[in-house]
Amino acid sequence: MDVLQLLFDGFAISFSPVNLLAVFVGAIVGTVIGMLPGVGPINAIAILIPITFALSLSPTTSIIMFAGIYYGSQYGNSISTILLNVPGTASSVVTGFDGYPMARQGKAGPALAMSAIASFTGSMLAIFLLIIFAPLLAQMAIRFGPAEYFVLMVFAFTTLASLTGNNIVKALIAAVFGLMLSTIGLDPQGVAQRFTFGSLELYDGLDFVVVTIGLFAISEVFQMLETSLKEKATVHKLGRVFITVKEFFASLWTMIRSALSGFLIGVLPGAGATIASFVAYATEKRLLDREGTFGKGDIRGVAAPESSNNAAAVGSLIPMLTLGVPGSGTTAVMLAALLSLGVTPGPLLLKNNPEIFWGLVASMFIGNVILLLLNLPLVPLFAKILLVPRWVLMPLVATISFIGVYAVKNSAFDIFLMTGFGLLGYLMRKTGFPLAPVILGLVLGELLEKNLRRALTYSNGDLSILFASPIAIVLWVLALLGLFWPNLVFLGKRLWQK
Amino acid sequence: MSNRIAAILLLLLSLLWLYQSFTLKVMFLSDPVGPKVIPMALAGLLFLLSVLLFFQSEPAVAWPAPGAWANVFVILLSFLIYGSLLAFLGFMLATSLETAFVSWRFGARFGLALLTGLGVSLALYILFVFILGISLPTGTLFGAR
Repeated sequence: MDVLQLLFDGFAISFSPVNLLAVFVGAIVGTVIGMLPGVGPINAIAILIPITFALSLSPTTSIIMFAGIYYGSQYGNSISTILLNVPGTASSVVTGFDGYPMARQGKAGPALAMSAIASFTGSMLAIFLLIIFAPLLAQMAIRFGPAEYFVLMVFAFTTLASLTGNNIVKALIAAVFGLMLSTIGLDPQGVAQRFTFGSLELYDGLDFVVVTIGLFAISEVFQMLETSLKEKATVHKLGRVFITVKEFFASLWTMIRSALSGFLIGVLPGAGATIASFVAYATEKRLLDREGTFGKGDIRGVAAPESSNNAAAVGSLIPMLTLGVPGSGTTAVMLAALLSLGVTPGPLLLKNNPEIFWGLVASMFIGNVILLLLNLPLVPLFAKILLVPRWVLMPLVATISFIGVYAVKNSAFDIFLMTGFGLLGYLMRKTGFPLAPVILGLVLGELLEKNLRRALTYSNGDLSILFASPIAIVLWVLALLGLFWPNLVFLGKRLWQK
Repeated sequence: MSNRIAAILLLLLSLLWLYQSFTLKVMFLSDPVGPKVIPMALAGLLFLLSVLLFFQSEPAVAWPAPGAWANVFVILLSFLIYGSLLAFLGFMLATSLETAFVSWRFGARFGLALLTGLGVSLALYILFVFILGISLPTGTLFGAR
């Protein structure tokens, strides 16, 4: 079958020394970075983008490395969450529900091992699903014109807004803010300078790396500064580093179910690993928790979120690669990275550059195997990194951020901008505004506007083009559903109980 | 309180934005929508959302003690100073100082902080300049142009 041939080609590509090295380096770097509290895959990818430029890596190799980083950091996040109850990013918060109690009971080893194994299982299952469904989605995607794309972006937005955090209004505000940021600079049709106040540096608009690093990494430095300065991280004793066969089989169905739900959630633009992990944990708890062990150190409570968030990570690559729509904040960063490398993800990616897509899929296989082999023996070593005191760790984070940002345009202005966003991110975190929608807004904004204006140019200002095709209508319905999903679920539950 | 303050600030922002997009100078008309519409629509949306925010129940915000605020402010200032002096002092000197300062504020003893500053900057300099080939400023103080 055509797909198998392409997959085989993909393996051939990913076995090239450069790409193997890229996966390896990405996986290791990702894991280490994932373990640094607060610095997540978004930061890692954002900081390393200038480096891929500097190394003149091909787009294929670059995205292979990014994917390696993405996975690696999922693993890394779990490590710091389980050992220290410091989630690397939001997607590993749920892992700590049972992981941290396990660590305190001296079962840190099995917890870490299960997290590695569940992540592996989740990714593998998701990759199979990806192989089956990606070409299908790609074929369907060619029927998307600018009007359909516009509605798709709207849908991506509503889903994110209604699923992130408890506060829809704040999430929407963050998203709108991100959209507003994206309008700074020259407009997509090249007609007017917007909100630049005559500043040359803003002519091209805001650089998303600057905004991302500022909002996430720098705000984390401020946040860390505020929490106790003299607090030293204590690592709990690590017992055996493997799980028993019994524990594995007890968690098998959990991992499979969570991988399925995680993958599907990941495919929906806007949803992502965090939501997937919450949903999986809640599902498994409802299905399996007979004696109230969930939340007190049940190993299945670690398996569920770990399997689903990795599956979601794979799933979120589908909309990004086949439709050019990011499935989550991290893929939004990857998307922007690809765009700046001159690759346009979208339905034509599979046609014009199949080697990028299939090389990526094949290297995901390899990457996951490498990560599993790497993690199990190296866990004790990784844990020691967390013993590095804050007064070395935080300056390191800050300095890497400076270099990462400065290297983009050699401009001190960007450092000021980054610092400003750092302050903003810090304030936002304190007042309960989610950060990820801002990034999504920043990345999607231009696409949204460009497609809207193009669609209306075709129709000579006739708004009905946005509702013309069946695809567009379906997407509008999905967007409305996405916006009111929590309310619908609530209503559904009430009706079900009656 | 924080919700109210945030809402008012956002409201002001949306009004400013609205004004700015209204007075935008458009070079020529390219399409039926034009460059003003989306920013104005966004500003309008923000306006509505901030009104909603204003009436929302307040979250429990753990505001840091004044001492901690001062700390954050000081580090913020140091970042800005770093940015301004980077080209002048050159990467090595500026970064060593900055990293040492941050390290010190995070609780390291003075000497240790200096060492950390030097160590981190040197390690990163080697990594970025020699291994990755990214050029970092040498500093006009030392004669670079």
